[in-house]
Amino acid sequence: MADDEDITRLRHDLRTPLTVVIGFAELLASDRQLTDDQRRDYASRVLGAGVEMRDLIDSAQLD
Amino acid sequence: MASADIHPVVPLRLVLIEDHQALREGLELLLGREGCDVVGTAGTAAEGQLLVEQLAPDVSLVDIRLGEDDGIDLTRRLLGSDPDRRIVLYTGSSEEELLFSGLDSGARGYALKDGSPRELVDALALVAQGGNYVDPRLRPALLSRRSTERLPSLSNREREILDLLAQGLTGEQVAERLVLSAETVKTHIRNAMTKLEAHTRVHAIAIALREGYISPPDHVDTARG
Repeated sequence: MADDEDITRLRHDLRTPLTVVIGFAELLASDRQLTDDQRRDYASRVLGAGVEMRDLIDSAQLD
Repeated sequence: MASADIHPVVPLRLVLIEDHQALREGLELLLGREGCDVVGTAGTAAEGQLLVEQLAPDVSLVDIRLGEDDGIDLTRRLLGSDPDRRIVLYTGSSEEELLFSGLDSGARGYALKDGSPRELVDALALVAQGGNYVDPRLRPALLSRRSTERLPSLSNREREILDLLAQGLTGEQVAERLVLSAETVKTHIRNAMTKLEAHTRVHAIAIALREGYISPPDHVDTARG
């Protein structure tokens, strides 16, 4: 069963990749000057952070 | 209350200490696009300490959790060797105890990962200029905590000065606004810190907000652009 410290750490750990997702998604959505390579790079970062969030949630022992 | 104008130091020389590689690289890119000059990045407390000591940035952004290391301990070490360093702690947690522990460390800023890059740059610029910053989303935590013991009352002048500091003005700007000498303002701040048992200016502001001596300031427009 998760205690307060576990939940606090999980919240922090989730917000870190979430910040990556939001930051790069905003760039992808708003910057029309991006090259194809940049778009692929940023999309890959969003994907990686999304997978990391999923794994964190899967591994959390939350009741 | 009106918020203080933020005049960014251009370019803002920044060291970024964040253990999460993707976020570190993302912040370097995003903050660079917002006009910051990210002069160094580090993924550990030891690397970060070396960078800050070597590069003497205008401000450092330090993640509170650095893997096995602790950003609050790093902040204490950096300020122990040079109290004038400007540090903004960066965290995904709005936990109250962590907030007060962070403020106790001497950091002049406390930013949440919930904020936009523009909001973070504003916070960094404010701290680089000698101001203080606590993420507006943390104000409920500041306001909800009640002291169990009665603190000595602040004078009207001390409240007024803390109120202006809370709006983001530097000590010099407060002196100019109130037509006082910088030394007089420093004395009032020292006295207020002693009364509030605060270790730093931003800690004094946090306690003054918590105890209701001053009101939460309006925040600068943080809407995403």
